[in-house]
Amino acid sequence: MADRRLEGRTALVTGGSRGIGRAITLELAAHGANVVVNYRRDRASAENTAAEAVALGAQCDILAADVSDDGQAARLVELAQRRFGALDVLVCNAGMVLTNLAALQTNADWQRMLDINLLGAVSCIRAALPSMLTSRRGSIVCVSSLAADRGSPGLSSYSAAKGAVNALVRSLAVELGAKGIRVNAVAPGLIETELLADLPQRGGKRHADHIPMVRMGRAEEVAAAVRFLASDDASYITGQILAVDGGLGV
Amino acid sequence: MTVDQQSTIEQDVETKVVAAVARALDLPPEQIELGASLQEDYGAESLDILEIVFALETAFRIRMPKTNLMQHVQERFGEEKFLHQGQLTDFALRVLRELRPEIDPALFTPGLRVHEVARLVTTQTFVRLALRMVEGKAEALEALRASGCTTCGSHDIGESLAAPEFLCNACGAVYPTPSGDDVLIHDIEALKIDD
Repeated sequence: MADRRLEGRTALVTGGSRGIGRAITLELAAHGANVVVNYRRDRASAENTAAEAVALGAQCDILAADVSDDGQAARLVELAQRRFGALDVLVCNAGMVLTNLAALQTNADWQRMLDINLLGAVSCIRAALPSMLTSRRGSIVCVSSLAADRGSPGLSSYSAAKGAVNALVRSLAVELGAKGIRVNAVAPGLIETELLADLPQRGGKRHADHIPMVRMGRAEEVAAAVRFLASDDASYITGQILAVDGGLGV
Repeated sequence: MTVDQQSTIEQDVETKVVAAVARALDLPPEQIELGASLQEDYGAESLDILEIVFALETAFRIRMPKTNLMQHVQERFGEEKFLHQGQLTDFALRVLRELRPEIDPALFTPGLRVHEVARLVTTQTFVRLALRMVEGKAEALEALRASGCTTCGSHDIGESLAAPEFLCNACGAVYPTPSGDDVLIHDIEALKIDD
């Protein structure tokens, strides 16, 4: 059984019902945190994930919200805080990937990528700050991507949005450090999830052939990194982008 | 409300504001002087000010203004009337003396620039602001009770203990408390300043 070092802490995981978000929810729950799972449309998956979290001994609630809508994001954070009386950990995981050549992406496509991957995190963080600032405690973890630092065909808008997330994380870490709020990101490489199914392959090679560890990552391995950054084990770590990529970005 | 009740509210607000300021600045409350400049005397930075604002919102379940006073005033009276070559006009100084009576009027001197006004903000400024927001919330609740719930018509409306909201006790309808910006704008509109 996992240690309970997040006992008594409350975490909100945006996009926490499926894929990496689901793994993060379960990892935090297994370590004792109360978790609020945000989902956009797929209530059944959110309920399943919450049931698994409860089976791990956690208190868990689900809340529907499209975080790319500032009002919904603010309401989500407010309700999460009310549910458990505080918010100690915010995991900004909700995101989506659009694969298309840059020449074929419209400004509307770009806006959508920025709304979900960047502004969704911005809205949630802004809403969480009153509580974190007044309690002088908080850990914010954004789920970025290796794509933020590597050129990849078809991923221009996604990469740009994630690059902006990394810049946001560094700036916020500097702004908020004195108030006891840490801000970090994890940057997953190639992880076995639904999102990856949309990624283009090059030259017929398997994805794993490009990775020093010669295998894809698992969502649970990303979740472990998020849990580390969220916990007091990372009490002197802020402004960092932790790659979880099997060495792909080295 | 009796004079005694008003005095108790003012004392409560002052105590909580001093506590919030002290905490944000990592100082013991007894070191906080109501009239001292937060920026110049205590080295407060913008994030400290934000922490004070959030702490007061939580303590009183109010919504403090998100746009600063100078922006509201400029929008109301226009930049031309308010600024000349980067300095506040005599008219602007008179407006600020009215809106910030807790600040020594002599500090609103000719030649003052917009960004320098922040240096004049004191703990007493926040006491006054919080009191005004508490008062604005009470006024809004009274008006809402008089007009009745828009959903069910009940006049049994109370204040939420969990958030800056009013709740209809009959049907559960929720009403946000007035925004601090609305209260500020209302006060600016009510000013009577001769040109």
